[in-house]
Amino acid sequence: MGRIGRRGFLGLTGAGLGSVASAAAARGALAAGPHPGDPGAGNHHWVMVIDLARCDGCGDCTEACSAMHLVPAGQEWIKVYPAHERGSGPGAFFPRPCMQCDNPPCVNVCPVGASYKRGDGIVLIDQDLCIGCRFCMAACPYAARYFNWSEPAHTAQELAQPYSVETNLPHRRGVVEKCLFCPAMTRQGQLPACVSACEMGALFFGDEHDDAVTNSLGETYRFSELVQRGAGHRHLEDLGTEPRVWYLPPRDPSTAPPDYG
Amino acid sequence: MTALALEPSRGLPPAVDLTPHERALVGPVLRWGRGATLLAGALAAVAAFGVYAYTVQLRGGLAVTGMRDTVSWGLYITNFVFFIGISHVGALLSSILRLTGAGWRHPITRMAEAITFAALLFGALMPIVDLGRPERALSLLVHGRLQSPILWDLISIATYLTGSTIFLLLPLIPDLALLRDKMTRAPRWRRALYRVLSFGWRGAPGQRARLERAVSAMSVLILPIAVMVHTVVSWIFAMTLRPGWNSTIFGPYFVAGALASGAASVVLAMVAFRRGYRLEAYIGERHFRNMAALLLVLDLVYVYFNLSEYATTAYKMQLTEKALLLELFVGSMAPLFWFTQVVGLIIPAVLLVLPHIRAVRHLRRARLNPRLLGPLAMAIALALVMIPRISAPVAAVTATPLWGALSVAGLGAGLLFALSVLPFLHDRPITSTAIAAGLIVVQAWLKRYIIVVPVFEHPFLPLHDAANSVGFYRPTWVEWAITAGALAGFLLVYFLFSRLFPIVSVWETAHPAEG
Amino acid sequence: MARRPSAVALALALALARPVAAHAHPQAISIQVDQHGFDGRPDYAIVVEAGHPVTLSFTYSEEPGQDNPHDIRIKGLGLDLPTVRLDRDHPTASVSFTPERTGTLRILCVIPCLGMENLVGARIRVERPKATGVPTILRLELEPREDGTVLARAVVRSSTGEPLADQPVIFRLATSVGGELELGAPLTMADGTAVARVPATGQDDVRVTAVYEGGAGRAYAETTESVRVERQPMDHRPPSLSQPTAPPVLAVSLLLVLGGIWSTYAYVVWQVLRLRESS
Repeated sequence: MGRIGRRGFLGLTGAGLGSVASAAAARGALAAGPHPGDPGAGNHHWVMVIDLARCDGCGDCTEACSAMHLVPAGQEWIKVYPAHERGSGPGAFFPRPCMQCDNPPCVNVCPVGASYKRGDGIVLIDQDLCIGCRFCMAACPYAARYFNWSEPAHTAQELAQPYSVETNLPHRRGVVEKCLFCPAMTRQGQLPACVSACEMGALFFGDEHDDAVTNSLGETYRFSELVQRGAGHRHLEDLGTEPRVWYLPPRDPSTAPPDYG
Repeated sequence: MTALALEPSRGLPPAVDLTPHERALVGPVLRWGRGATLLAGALAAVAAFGVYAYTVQLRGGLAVTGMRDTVSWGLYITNFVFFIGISHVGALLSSILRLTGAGWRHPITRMAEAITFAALLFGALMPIVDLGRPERALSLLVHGRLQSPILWDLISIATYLTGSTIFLLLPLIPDLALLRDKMTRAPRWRRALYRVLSFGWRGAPGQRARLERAVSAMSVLILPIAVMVHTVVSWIFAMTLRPGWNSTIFGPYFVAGALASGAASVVLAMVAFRRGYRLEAYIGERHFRNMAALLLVLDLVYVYFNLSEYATTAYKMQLTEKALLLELFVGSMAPLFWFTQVVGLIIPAVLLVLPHIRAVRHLRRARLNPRLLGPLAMAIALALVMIPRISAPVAAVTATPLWGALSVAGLGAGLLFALSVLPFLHDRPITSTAIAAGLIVVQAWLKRYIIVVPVFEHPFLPLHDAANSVGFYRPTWVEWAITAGALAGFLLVYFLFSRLFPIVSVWETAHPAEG
Repeated sequence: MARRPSAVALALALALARPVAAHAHPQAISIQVDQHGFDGRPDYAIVVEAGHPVTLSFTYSEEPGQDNPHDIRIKGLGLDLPTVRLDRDHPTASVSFTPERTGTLRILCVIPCLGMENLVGARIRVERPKATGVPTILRLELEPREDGTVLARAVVRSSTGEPLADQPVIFRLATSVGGELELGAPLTMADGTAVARVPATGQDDVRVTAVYEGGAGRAYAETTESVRVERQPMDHRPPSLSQPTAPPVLAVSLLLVLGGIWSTYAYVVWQVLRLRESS
């Protein structure tokens, strides 16, 4: 071992740090590639409005979602909670899709960037990257994420699909899944499965850039006005998650303002 | 010291030319008896069973555990935090005691640093076991996001493991040189190991100076690293919004708990090695007395943090935290919670102080016979419970009358029993300290469980129509097996370390006056 | 010689000239109900006019031997209509109502019955009757602006080419998910033009429908135009904690701290490696 000397030592350290930095840069370049099946955001900014006065707890939204995405058993990507203190009637049910938060705690804590926020507001999960640590599930305050604890049951049709980050098909064991606002549907100008299945027209969906939301009954309202006049709020807003799903409070139907049925 | 007979046994022929001091400490390295085989074999068997359980998990997915969507972290993360916690002992003893010039630390620094090393190994393993896709673990390096607390964990644990390995090795060098020189008839691989790892040590003054510089640098560095490690581990929880975790004091709270459980674990190691390797001359009452004082301080600091965390939240009973707090204080988790607080923290503090309370001696005159008193106390307590006038108010305070009754009975019996045992323990400070340390270590594991699991059972969105099996966590045999396996693996690594290298530093204890 | 038309003849002429206020859509509708759907179609849909009475007559048409009952409900638009029971004993039933509001009503069977999945998707669209009369000419022009907005200009003219002033023109924008958002209903100016501004949306093609509802002898008119827009990229960047790469502050701090630690390790290791040649 030759005599290195102080200068040599500092040089070694500098070289070490430099190589770490360049490795980090290379790693960064590697990781910046697109996720499979993600053609990009398009110029949209999706938002959902749920009218709690109209929801009657029928569960058609959950059924349609589960059918469309072949959702594994035990998972409800849009889950309708009963609000027991209201018994029945307006406000007795609370549908909870993924809120696609603008300050998403799930994305913040993901160690590998498998959960990521797209420019159109949707939080997607790249299941080629997910390591199954479930930190995102611990971080989500809305209990919107589900984990494939075992190998989900498959159909031949499902397995034939090429993997796309917009569909999460085919489903895999050991990764996390959730509601994605049906990006494959909205890309074609259609409403998400839950929205079109809602009998009562309680679920509205639209592009904030259009400032318009539409429901299954073809009713279209100006989003900003609907939320303002309808005293729309977001669930657990003070947590700072900035959800993209707004709720219109339950109101007595006999006093319904004529604007929105 | 010289009573240490070198048994002719399988393994290594004895070396020659050892001073009595060296012989006492190097003895376990030279021997390998039937007892050692038995112990190593038993530990290896349990560890192997843990590995088998993991293969079951790899085949069936995490569905073989008790975790589900509501409680998505369980025993594995509990073990993770527990192991990283006890790994702080190395920083505590080698670093803090060295910087404060506590000369009595020499016999126990190495066993503490070895605990750190082994605990970090198994602590770092636990999150990998918990992954749904362990084959993608390397993505953490390629795709790691620096904003994620898990990445901070990865970086800091890797840093701490490297640092503690270096710190373990440095003071080992002179002893390795001793082994290299003296164990001339050891198998080749061992001789090569000692030769390589002793780095040409000859005891020359220039070498001593270099070693001293290196050790000084590491002892200053290792303490902030240890604090950083457990702080970022606590931030796995504290950087989320969940009620019960959304607290600002988690960093120091966890570090305090880690130091206490680490100190307790080294006390248990002291007891084990003192008895097993017959090191009474090196690890004496003075060491236990000092460790007891240190453990007491750390225990009380942890009690203070527990109080800060629970008293402030209980005073406010904020709606989102209310259900969780009620479950911990008076609900289904209450027995476990109060066990960790009272039996796990308060009673050890009492036991640690006990040898200094002279008044306890008077209890001996009362001639309380422990064997009689236990059952008598239980009977009295049960009778009290039967009387409605007394049991009703108790039942009103606790959620379930049965638990209330049993708690009263248990507490009463325990108190009376303890009173009878106090003089006995007062006279045996080492036993007292050892029991306290054992309770603190058990408390540490249970407390981590209490921090991790109940919070999941009380999320923001209610579980109205969720089946019980989804909300409430019951660990399966796979998780218990892996936990036991990890513990056995840890003990095995530690035990083998103590057989490969002298667990008490030979050169540092050669001159007892050195500080 | 010019004869002045008699009053009777005038009245007759006026009567003939006045547009017949006939209903554009049938308001008395009969529907067969069985397990295959309404009139055998799961996607049954009809259009009725608002403001006029509607009578739906349901007939139970299950095959002989099939005694599966149905409870038919009509839901929506604030109408609280009774449920009608259809089975072997009650093979016909009817429901009458006058929808005042426009929108969509649903007809469905509300008990678990055989063929339920075919009896939930039926819709009744309630529209305002389209005025008939003298045809109006409605032209629409879309002019994209530099700021990404689109100016929609509609011109309303009578059949003789005269501009019609003070007439409301409803502008509707097609949204990204197939909805139609009403942008406004400005009145035409003296030259017959009405203008609405379409705000900058994210769509490549902006499609606007202009509607002149007519009335007072003028017919309903509607026209749709679309124009390609140079859309502004509207990028919504997530907060720095949510981005794929770390904010520089974090990365630099970590690098400094770790750099310090690992340099010290390097120093220590170097000291150890130099032990051999020390004296």
